[in-house]
Amino acid sequence: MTGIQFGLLMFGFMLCLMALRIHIAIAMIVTGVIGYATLAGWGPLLAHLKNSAYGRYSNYELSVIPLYLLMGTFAARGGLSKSLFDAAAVFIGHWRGGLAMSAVGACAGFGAICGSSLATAAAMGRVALPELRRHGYSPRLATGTLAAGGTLGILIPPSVPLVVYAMLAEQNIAKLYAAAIIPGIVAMIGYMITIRIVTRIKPQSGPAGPRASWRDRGRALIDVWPVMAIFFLVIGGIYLGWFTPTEAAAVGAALAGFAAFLRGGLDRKKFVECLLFTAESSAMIFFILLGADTLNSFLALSQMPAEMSTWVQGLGISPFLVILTIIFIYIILGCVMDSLSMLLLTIPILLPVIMGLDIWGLDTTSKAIWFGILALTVVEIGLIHPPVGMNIYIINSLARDVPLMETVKGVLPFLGSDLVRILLLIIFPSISLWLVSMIK
Amino acid sequence: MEKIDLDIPGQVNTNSGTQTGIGKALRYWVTALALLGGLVLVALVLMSVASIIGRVLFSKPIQGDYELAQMMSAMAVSLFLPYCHFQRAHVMVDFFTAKASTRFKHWLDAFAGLLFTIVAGVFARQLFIGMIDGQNSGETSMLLSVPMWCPYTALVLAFGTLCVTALYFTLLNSAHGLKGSP
Repeated sequence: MTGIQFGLLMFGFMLCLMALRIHIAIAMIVTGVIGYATLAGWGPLLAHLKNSAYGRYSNYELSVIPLYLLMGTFAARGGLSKSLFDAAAVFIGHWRGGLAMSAVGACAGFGAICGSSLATAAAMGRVALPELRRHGYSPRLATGTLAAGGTLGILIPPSVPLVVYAMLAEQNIAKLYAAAIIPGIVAMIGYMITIRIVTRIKPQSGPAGPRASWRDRGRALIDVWPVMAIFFLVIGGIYLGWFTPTEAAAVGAALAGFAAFLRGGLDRKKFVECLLFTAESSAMIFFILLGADTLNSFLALSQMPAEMSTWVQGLGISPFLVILTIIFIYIILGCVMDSLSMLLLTIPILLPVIMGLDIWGLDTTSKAIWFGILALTVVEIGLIHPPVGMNIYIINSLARDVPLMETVKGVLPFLGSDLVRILLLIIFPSISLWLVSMIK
Repeated sequence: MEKIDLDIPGQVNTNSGTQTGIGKALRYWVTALALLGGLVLVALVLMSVASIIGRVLFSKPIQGDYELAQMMSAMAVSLFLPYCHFQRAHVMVDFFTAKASTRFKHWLDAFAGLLFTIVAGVFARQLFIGMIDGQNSGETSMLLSVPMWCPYTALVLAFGTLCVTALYFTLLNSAHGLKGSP
């Protein structure tokens, strides 16, 4: 059997395990262990397992993940999500659909201090949903906006999936963050344009709110200072060479905790809640990381990624056809799987394929960075399309009176905007790469 | 696919059939481990801040902060694992079995739990051997000479507890499967 055949066989086996309600990480580990033992024997496998967990969990680059999660939890507890929404609403709330646009802007702002889409959707949903409903927004537009807006959480740095991609692709996280900023802003603008179009077709779905005074606007801006300070230190501090990303995340977590404490949102009970929430969401991620690590040790041994790359090159088809196929695979996988598992499963196989193709004559590093942003954008769509779009469920659990189908329908226009953005990212790689070339 | 009440920070999942004596004791234990991990994480935050202040103001960072950060984050995230499992928050796909009967799902979950128990058990055993190896070889970290087996104790504890938690859920699901109760 060739590497590809054995690899695909084991992949099929793993997907069967996953379909049978076996935890994704366990399915990866079982597959990886059986494959590894078949190729190398049980002795080397058991020796590998003695140190693999510690090796993975003590990775310095990955230690930013629990820190980002702690920071986001503190920020939500400290009411920073509400401040952001208020600040956006006093400026553009009097437009038609303006409050929904404010929610999108606030999601982007919260994404700048939070590395996870689910946390962004949950934090902003809790703050903005009641406001949108109170001002007479249609349930469909309100829930759709927040589910889609939540995806800005992983696109705008800091971002947990980008950290994971940086590790898998052995790329510099600072460059990836730089590459994500403009696509993140494009996504935000795209969502705002979507809201404008939706409210033009159906004006009653997003009525204009009252105009705020400049006094209120000034006050609201002052209220978001911790967000700006945190973003400046956590992201800016990396480029200015002040901190490593881990130190920056630690500073951000400390600042967010301090801000939450000052605003009276962090007594002992809430502090414990924050720790437990961080524990739960970090463990979810790190358990899948352990699974993917075990699986990838087997894949590397099987030579499947390299053979796959050679095979695709030998087909002699257009690189763009390959890319469209990959996007199609991601959208299908996104129907059953979460974004992080998808990245961890596919990047080790697909990245060598991409690296073997000639795409707009990009060099290796640029290609890896460009593909990272593209993959992130595509897997993030999985968060808002049925049947398992997590953001849809989170928003739906916050708005119990809105039927799930309404939220799904509300998300559709935003999915359209996402597809346009994917095409833009493919056709114009400089959307991702321009800022990277600026920071060299 | 994943549990969806993860949007309520830190809320203890009370409807997971864990009201019995053993379940309660286990919940206290995994929560204690998670909080311990959380405190390690907070210590990591404070250490990083202290190191930066020392570096900027007195050009004297904390020595070995890099390797301390590695050890602390490894200890913290592994101590989180059993709590996450107890909250039933580890990710799985329930798309294909959404329409199956509750009883059938209990049996599938019992099987999944069995695999989970074995995997966690094997990891715990191998990590324990790794820890003993480390003690025998006397391997230490580069700058601070911390014995490498020290952070391993947290991982052995975490994976051992994970194994016990998974076994508990396996038995719970088997019992539900036998009784046919929801």
